[in-house]
Amino acid sequence: MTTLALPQLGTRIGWREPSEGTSSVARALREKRVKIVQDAARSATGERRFTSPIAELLAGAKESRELSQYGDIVAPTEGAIGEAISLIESLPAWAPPPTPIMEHDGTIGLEWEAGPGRFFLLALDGTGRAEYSAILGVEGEHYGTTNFTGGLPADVEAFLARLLQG
Amino acid sequence: MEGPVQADERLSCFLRHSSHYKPSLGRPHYSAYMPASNGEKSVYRTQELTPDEVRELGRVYVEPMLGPLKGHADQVARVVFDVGLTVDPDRRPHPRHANIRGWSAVRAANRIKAEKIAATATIVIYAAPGAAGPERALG
Repeated sequence: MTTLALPQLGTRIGWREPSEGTSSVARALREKRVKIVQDAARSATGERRFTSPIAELLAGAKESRELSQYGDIVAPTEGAIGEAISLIESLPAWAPPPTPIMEHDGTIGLEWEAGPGRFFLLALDGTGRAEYSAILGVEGEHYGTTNFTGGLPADVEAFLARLLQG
Repeated sequence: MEGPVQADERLSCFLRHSSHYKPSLGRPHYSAYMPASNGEKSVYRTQELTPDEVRELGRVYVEPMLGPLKGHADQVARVVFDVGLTVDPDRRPHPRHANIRGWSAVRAANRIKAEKIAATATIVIYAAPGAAGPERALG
């Protein structure tokens, strides 16, 4: 399916316009914004598509903020978003990018699927704690909680590896 | 709808967030079936209703409280029962309303149950207001 660039998408996915300046911080912000805009596009049918899980994550968080006006959906905190970005950026090279999913209570799920009955999810809520849930086919189901220190927790990395090995 | 929910009954839940479904898979994500803060997942008993009638149910009874709907997901009650949950008729705000109950206090365990329900569910995505074309049934 072909994709089309979407003008001004940076504002659509919740990127706050950085103030212009010449500092390294301002430059880094501009560069990151450009990258996120480049990573997001719409298909020819108008369906939003992402090539970056971080762009998809930020778009989902923005949508949650908009829907939070109805009361039963909570937007993810900056802490939760920061944890999710940190995890995505620190994934080992063998791990494919996850699909970010916004839960109604502000928790962010990072999901990997490897066909029917094979599922792995890490859920982050900005508290330094990660909940994991895995369905590994004949190897059964696993779930629990572990500490989150910025990268893929070592004690759950094996679940993701087993999911992908099939 | 009268009486207890039967295993072969169709249950529909409304999709409100882009994170609730993935069109490329033609099915909802687990998040569509996660219980709300009250420990229940709201569904409607939609056996014999057309997709348009389900959408109308949502437009009248869900949208005024919870905002615009993106679509709905369909699953048979048997799949919900098979993961150890119950479906209890509620009849409010509509006689077809019911709640999926019996969730664990452990969210990570609930995500596995929700994923199992979502894995074989199908979705109907509503055309955006003003857009040409009918709604799309996927799955």
